[in-house]
Amino acid sequence: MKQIFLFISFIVIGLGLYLKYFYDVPDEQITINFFVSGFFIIVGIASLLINIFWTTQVKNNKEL
Amino acid sequence: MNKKVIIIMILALVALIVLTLFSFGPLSNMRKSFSTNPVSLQPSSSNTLSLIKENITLDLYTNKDVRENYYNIYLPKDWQIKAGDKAGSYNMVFPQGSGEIKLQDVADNTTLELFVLSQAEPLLKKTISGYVKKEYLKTTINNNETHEIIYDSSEKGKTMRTIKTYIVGSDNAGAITLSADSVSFETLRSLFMQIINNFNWQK
Repeated sequence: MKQIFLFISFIVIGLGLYLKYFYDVPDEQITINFFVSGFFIIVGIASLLINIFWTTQVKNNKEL
Repeated sequence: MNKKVIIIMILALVALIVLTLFSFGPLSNMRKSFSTNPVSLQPSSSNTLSLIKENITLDLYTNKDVRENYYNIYLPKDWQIKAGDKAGSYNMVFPQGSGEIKLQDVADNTTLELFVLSQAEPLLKKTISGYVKKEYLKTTINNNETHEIIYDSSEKGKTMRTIKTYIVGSDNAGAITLSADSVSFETLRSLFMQIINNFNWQK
């Protein structure tokens, strides 16, 4: 489960970076592209970090 | 949930709120002003072009607002030059008229010629009062395919003549618009052509 979550996080970050740097954005969609790509990058990084720290918490619980 | 997870969630939420403000809210103007590189508005002091016949000196401007679309353009010293609304653009004002240089987004699935004929020209026809097409030329400038439309329009009772040039570029196309009242246009035409012909994409 942890690996699937990690994989999805990387996909979301990758999608955000693709939209930000490689996607040919039409002029009228620049604002929405800025928002959507930023949203994916923030959510992706947050979920990645949560995944890392959440695992640590579970380990500690097991130890207890 | 441990403390670190809660902190990350709060930080992500704050980042999303800031992102929303920068995208659609009051900070969106700040984002747009960031896109203009201050270097783009500084003419090069060492690189000028003198037109002896017209007695005009042109300064070299190097626009570095948009990656993939850096360009050089020579503009007369005595024109008022300002950054335009969008990245990579200039607005010019001079006694006989005005001008604009901007980057024109052209979809990947079309060619510049098709774009000019099927989208740009019909839009001019629809939005400009008294639009009358005078000339349409397909040429090459510094090995880049170029499309020029010369048209008349009426503005506050005056007839204006405009030359609009689209130059093929790697991502966006360059679009140079130079307008003057129809009487002055013919005398300014050689200067306009010098400006257009010296447009150069920076590799």
